[in-house]
Amino acid sequence: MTSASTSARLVIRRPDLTANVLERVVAALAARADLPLDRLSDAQIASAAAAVAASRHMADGALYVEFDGEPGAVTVRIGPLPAGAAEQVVEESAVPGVGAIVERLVDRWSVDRRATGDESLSLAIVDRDGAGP
Amino acid sequence: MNEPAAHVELTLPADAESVVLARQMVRGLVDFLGWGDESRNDISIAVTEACTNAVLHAYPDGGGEYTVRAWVEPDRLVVAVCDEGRGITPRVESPAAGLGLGLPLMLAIGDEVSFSSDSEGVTQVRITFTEGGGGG
Repeated sequence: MTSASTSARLVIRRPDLTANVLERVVAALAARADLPLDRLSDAQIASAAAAVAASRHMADGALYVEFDGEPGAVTVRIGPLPAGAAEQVVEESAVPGVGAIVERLVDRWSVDRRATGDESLSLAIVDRDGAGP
Repeated sequence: MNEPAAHVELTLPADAESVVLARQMVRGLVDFLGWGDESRNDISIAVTEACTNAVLHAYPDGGGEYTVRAWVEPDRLVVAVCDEGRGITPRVESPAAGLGLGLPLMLAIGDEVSFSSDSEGVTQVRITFTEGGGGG
């Protein structure tokens, strides 16, 4: 298994395709990053939850996702989102009795604001027991 | 040619490691369509070959990106692999050229296969699949 860095940009313009496509692309990226199975699963669930919430905020109905993978870590960036939407996406991923799925499953999340006024939500999932950055 | 925006679009660096992501994206679409294992495997092979072509031949000096676009309809899946590399060139025997099975495989598996280069320098390999189809 090689673990070179990988980056990718994904656009999904049909919401009904999001689950099938995102799940597989995230899994492939996490596997390439040598994430253990539990973290791969966390990456899939967190990405899916964020994508569902983010799709409600996308003006044109399309979902834009960027991926970066490196040994022991995967970063998923969702956006551009309208100003203020990234934090709402995290909040809207809440499940009763569990809390905000995104917040619970990722190691770090952040909002990257741009000069244009929009923003993106960045989720980082790392191998907690391995060589993750 | 004006065509509707792709339903799904994945842009990747033109390196061999990226092909697995393209393959998984397309497998996700085949899953969505509910097509069988045989179709899934065949389509994966054809898309892998198209992507590998872009990786091996589009950018001889390295670097560059390619994009896999897909349109999903109830009874067919259209996949286009696009790059902005050197365009379609005659096959030259070299270690990087492979066995030359890519095109025959794409033709055998796809129902329609087309190759084009436009005035903006975009080269496209476009394959249309139906469940259990291939070659016509």
